[in-house]
Amino acid sequence: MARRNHLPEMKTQSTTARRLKKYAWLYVLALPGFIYLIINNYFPMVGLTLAFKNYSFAKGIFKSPWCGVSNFTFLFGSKWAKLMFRNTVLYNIVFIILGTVFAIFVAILLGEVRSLRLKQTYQTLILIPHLISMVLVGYLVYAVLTPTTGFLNKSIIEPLGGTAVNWYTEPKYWPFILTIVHLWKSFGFQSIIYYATIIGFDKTYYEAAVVDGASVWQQITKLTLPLLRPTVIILLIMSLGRMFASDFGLFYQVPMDNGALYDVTTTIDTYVYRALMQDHDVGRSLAAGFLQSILGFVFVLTTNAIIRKIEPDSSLF
Amino acid sequence: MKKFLAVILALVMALSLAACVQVTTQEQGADTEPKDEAPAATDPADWPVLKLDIAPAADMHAQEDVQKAVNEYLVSINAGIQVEFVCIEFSQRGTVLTNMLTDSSNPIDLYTSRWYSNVPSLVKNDQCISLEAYRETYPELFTMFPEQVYKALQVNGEQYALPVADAFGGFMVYVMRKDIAEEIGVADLADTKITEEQLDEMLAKAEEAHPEMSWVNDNNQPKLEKVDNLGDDNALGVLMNYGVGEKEIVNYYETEEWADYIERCKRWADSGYYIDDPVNSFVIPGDAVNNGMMGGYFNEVYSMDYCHALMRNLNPNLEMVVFQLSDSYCSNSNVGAGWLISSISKHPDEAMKLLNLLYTDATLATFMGVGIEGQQYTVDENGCAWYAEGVDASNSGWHCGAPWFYPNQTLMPPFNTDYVDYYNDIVKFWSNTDKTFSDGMGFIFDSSKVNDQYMACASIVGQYRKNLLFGQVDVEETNKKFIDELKENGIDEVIAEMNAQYAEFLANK
Repeated sequence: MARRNHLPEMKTQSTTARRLKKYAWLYVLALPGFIYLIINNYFPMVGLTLAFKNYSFAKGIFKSPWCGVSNFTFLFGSKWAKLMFRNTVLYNIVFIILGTVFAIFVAILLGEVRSLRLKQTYQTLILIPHLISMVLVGYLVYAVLTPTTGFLNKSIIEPLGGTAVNWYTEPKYWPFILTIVHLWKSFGFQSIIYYATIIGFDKTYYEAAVVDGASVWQQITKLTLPLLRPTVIILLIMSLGRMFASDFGLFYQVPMDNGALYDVTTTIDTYVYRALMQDHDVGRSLAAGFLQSILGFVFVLTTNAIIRKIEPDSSLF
Repeated sequence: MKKFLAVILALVMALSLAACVQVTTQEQGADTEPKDEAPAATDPADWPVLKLDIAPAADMHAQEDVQKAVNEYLVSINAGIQVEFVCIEFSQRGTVLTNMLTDSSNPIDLYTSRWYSNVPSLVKNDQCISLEAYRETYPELFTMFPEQVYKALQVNGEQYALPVADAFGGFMVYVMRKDIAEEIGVADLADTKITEEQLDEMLAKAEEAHPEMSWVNDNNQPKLEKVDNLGDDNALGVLMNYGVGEKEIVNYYETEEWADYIERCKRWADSGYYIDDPVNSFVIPGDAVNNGMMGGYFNEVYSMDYCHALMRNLNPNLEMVVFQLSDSYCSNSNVGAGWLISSISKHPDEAMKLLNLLYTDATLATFMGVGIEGQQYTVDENGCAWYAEGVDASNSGWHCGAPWFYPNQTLMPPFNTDYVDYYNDIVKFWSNTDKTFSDGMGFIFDSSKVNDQYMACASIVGQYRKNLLFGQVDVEETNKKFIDELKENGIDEVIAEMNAQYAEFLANK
């Protein structure tokens, strides 16, 4: 019995050794990358211990005293806890769903453009918002929404007989404004990713579909979307890793950090920034980041496990 | 080819790592130097080079020239130290300074808390050292300003920062274009103290005469609110009546005074006195008056003469009149910033020596404030400094307009003003008996016991205060919500802790 149990192990060892020998030079080739990854992505994790320490700038990471979980308490127990977790997660859900739908829609439209020059022009144009700094986006939005001289009030609402809106004191509009700004800024980049996937599809599928009499709509729904599914799932899993993080610029710069809007613009990142801006408490800011990462990590693992059960080929690992 | 490439890449990585190790070793070597290294070396090349925080400006092309001039001067007086300027962009100050206060291989030695943090936080984070050990060596540095001012930069009775020389107090004024004051018939009140009612009446007349102009830019000022906010812009716990004779800290937002003030602000907003979108906009009032956008504005000054000189400087093509709104008071909010020695400085003794020179040596103070004579500035026959010919703020290459960034601006010649006694009057004001100190002057609140409540309440203040002050929201409804949320999130615990500490502070006074 014992002998039989050892057989597969010996076989595995022998396979691993053979594989190592066979691909030795490829591993050597990959070694610099591995070392880089370890130094830049794993070594800094030692710093995570600071989330549980009263960081002293004079004593450094290792000599600073431990403080248990007291660095985490400021995130809970006030009215902001509910608000910031709610806002962070809900905005991310909306951004992921709408962002994906919108990006795929644009990618499919791009795929239907026949002129190469037009295609390149559109790709460039839709990518521009992604390249603009969020500070600048904040001022662009301000130019549109300024109560007294903004484009929206002066050129649209008032000429149509409406009353000017003080956008920066009305929280109810901002979930929509932030979503629109986010989609406008991010759809180009996401679309390019989906478009790159689409142009990689085997053209013979589409030729066969055309021969069988499939309409364009049928080609999209029966071929393109199903073929895109693995990419969508991978990007979705990766997005979920940042489910508890937010784009600081979007939620801080665009609403101009206006207090009247805090109920709908406060996310974990903006609260932490505002709370710690004065005293530069490294331990507390790291505690917030640590919590975001752990929650994101759990989300990724859970989602991946679910997807592995439903559709193993599409899971990330 | 694949093997060759792999070997080359592996070699490159190995060499890079070896280089990193080499650098680290060298840096660690430097770290082991004795902290109290004496400036015994006679060769200036062997003197320790101290990294010194300097004020940023859009164009700093003269930085190296000024640094060289300063170092030559330090050699000429056999100072035993050299300096290296560290210029941190305003927007990057938080990040860069935090890094430089963390990185023991490349530490900053002397820095100011201005635009960065406050002394209690810097002490809590171990980002500075106590200066008590230097009290006997440099007694002048601990006595040149009023005693109360020093206390504002102490923690648990220890001096961690030295104050930046300033007036440390003052009174509120309203300045208005003289032609408008004459037009609305209030010019005869100029240079006198006026009441709130007179001011409101004056603003109403001005708005009626010039509806195209604004009259209020920033009313977010403790002295307009008549409180001592104890140096906390959130005003979470204040002393009423400018802090004079006040033995108890109160939740300001629950007081009638706050309710009355925001009612008044709302009337100002509804009457059109504010600049457009005051919550999100920022204007420099002097410029706004020059370009016709504003007709007047609030300011805090320490003397009427200084105020007139300031107006001549800010509004050179306009005549302005000044109306006094309050008496002179000194509170914690008037002690803007302090100078500190980094806790990871390898040369704290030398840093203190440099700090002493910055506070007491006029030549060094002038270099820091206005740069090099003939290059950035010239001095007239009255002893006032002006930009050199062909030089202005945009091309001077040095931050000549920021002498208040450095420890002791009063050693410099007055810059860009004909007010010869500009600095003499500041020094006189320190011992002037016309001003009144807040009872809370020097009290520093340690929020560590109620930190979570304090942070939550500070964010709530951020949510409501500015919009109430600028009259942008319904006052009654919003203020009620504001007060309720502060209560729900622990303001009472914060105030109770503040009062416990304040009682101890008063008992030890």
